[in-house]
Amino acid sequence: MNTRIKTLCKRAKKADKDATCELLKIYYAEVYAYLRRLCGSRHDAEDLTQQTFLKVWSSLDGFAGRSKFSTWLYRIAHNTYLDWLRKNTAGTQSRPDQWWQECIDQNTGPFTNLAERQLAQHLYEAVGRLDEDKKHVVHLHYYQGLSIRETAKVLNIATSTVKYRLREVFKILRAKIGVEENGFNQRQTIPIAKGESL
Amino acid sequence: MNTQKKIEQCLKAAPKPPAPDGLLDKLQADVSARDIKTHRSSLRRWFAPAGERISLWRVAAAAAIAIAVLLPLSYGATKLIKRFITISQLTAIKEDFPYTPAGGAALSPDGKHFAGITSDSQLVVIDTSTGEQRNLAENCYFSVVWSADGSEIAVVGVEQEKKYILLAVSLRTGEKRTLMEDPPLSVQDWSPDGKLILGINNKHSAVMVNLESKEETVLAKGWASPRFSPNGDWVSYVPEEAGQSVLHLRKIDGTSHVKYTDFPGEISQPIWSPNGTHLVFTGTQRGIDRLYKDLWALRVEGNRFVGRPFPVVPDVEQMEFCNWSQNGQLAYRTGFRLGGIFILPVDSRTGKATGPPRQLVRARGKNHCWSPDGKQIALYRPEERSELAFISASTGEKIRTLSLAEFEFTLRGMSWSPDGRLIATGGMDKEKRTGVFLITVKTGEVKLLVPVETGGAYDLTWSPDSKTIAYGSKSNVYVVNIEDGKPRRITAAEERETSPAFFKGPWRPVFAPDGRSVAYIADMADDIRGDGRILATTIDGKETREIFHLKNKKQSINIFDWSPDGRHIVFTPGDSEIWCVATDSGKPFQIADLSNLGEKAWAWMPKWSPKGDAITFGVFNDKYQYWVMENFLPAE
Repeated sequence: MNTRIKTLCKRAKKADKDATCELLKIYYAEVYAYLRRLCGSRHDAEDLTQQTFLKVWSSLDGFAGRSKFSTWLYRIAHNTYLDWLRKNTAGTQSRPDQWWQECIDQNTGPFTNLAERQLAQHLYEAVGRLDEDKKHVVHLHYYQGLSIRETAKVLNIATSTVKYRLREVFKILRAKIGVEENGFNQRQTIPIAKGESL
Repeated sequence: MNTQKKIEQCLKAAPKPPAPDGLLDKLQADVSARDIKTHRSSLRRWFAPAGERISLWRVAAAAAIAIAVLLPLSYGATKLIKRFITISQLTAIKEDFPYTPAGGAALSPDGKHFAGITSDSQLVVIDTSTGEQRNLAENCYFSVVWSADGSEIAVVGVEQEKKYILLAVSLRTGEKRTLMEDPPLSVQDWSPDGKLILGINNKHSAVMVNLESKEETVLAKGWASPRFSPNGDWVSYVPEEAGQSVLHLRKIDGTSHVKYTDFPGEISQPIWSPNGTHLVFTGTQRGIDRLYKDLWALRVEGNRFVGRPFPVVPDVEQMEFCNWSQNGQLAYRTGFRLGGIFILPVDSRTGKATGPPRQLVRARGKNHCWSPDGKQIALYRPEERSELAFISASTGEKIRTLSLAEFEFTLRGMSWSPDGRLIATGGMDKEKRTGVFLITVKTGEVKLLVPVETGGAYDLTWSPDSKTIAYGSKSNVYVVNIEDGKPRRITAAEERETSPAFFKGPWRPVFAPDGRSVAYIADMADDIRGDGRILATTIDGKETREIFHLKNKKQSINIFDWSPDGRHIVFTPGDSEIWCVATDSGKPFQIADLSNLGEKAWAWMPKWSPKGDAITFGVFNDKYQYWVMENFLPAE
């Protein structure tokens, strides 16, 4: 935990509202993005973000500083999401796929060609369809950029478990991509007969 | 790019959903609207659960818990901690102080300084925390003893006239004051009031001396390790009586005296615990094929021993105890003796080495001699309770042993008679008789041939016909016919009875191969190194001639031996080198260098084999560390 965050935490513990707002400004967008990706609905994500931070402020006194503040925050966000998930049935959830579609359409990001964008979209959709356990590992480690150790702390599991789950995720995603790529390549090679050159 | 990398890249580049406008405001409003819980310490939460006033009931309850639970617990914990031995190394002590049974070094009463005498007779004090080392005095010998307040160190020194004096050296300034002249040679303890000392006199008796009246009280014959109790009222010492170690407790004015006689083994070096409740000692007991040395304790109450001795630290074979300081630390030296008897193959015609030296046997004792047939080497092993071991000269394997339990100690330089029947050695037997002894090789029978009251007999050497022995004593060379046992002095130096006088004068004799004369190192320089002249005097004492004169002033002859054909002399200068010189040309050449064994390794006592094809010598190569041990006595 860097010194600035430490100082802000100390001040926030002493009910310093400026420090609290400062912490909020640093982290709210990340927390929102995390929850938004998970629950797939802007509305729900806003609610969950609000609930997360309310929990944070009410239990700030108990934060001993043994882990990073961000790790602790993600853990609260993660638990808030799990609570929400338990209360909501699958039918009422928005389809995350839709959001990805919107997002990728609006912002091409690093994907320069259509093929890559399509591939990415398939990947994100595939992640969305993973088991909850595996999905959380991908979200925290890849989407939110947490280290393996931090991911393990947030999920309250061993780092070896995180690594195992990631390996499993890759197996699934590789199989998925293999199918997509083959199909895509086949479509590209249709005009060229075997043995002919371009 | 492989598939996994591609997937990872895609996942890492996942677009981030932007936070909607107004979310931050909403969250900030939450912060303003709600009171964030203020930080309160656990104690505060305990004493004021409602968050406002401190509850007096809770304060009272806390006090009751502290008294009823925590205090006994902490008391118990302290007792518990005291039950654990703590052992730590005095890493600041880099110096190696030669050990003597009196303790060549000692820890100050507060444990902050460590004092000792170096091999070059310097009194050195080392700060145990910083390692800072100061030389406080020169020409000091044997042992050091701290004053009860730690401000001075008592040590035996030598003044200009070569006389011994007992000095008190100030720790702070290094200033010296004379406590007494002609003191006991080894000072063992200094009473807390500073008026009495304990030591071993030149007749090998443990004595107590009043520093004011100079009155000497003989406590016991032998080394006996006398020590004052911490309050200074009692003296403990442990002489051997009828083959048994007996622990004595004597009031200093002699009005009370008790003994402990029941220990089933040998007691050595009894030391008082700082609070005076126990005496600890090294107890040696004989097991199958080896000796067991453990640290034992015996409770003392006033003028009596309480109960029986009990073992406190097992297997202290490698430990040599220095002293037990008032701060509760028992200081000791531990280490490894890597030296022993080495053998160097040589060409008997040229005296040059024909191969590298090798270790024949690892041993503490270096006193050894060749059998006349050159097949065995007899080695005195003090570490094996005065055992004389016969080892194979080719393999170093032990062939047989003879117990020399009749000896208190043997002195340097033993010799096997050319007819193979006897081994001659100097020493002291259990009846405290000193002189020249003859050991029958077959039976182990010991006979005192020449009593030598003071000074002892050193460096014994046989004539080729096995009828005469030459030896060094009182700074002179003597010869004695084994038939009549009457010694004759063949050198004409002034007789000096005690050290440091025996650092001077003709000494370390070796019988010439022709049997007509005895060679020896001539008068010595001021220190213990010889000036490099070897003379030979005929056994009737009438003629003396120079055999060899070492011209190199930087070198000296510490000890030497003659080759069987008389054409060469091998000598050790007292360092890691071994030199040889032809008796007719006088140009010495080095035949071995043991410096690769370590900085402190040194060789001495060369012995040429009867066939002339090998030279054996003793090598000292000891590596030591200083440690302290605390809390090893059981809790009261």
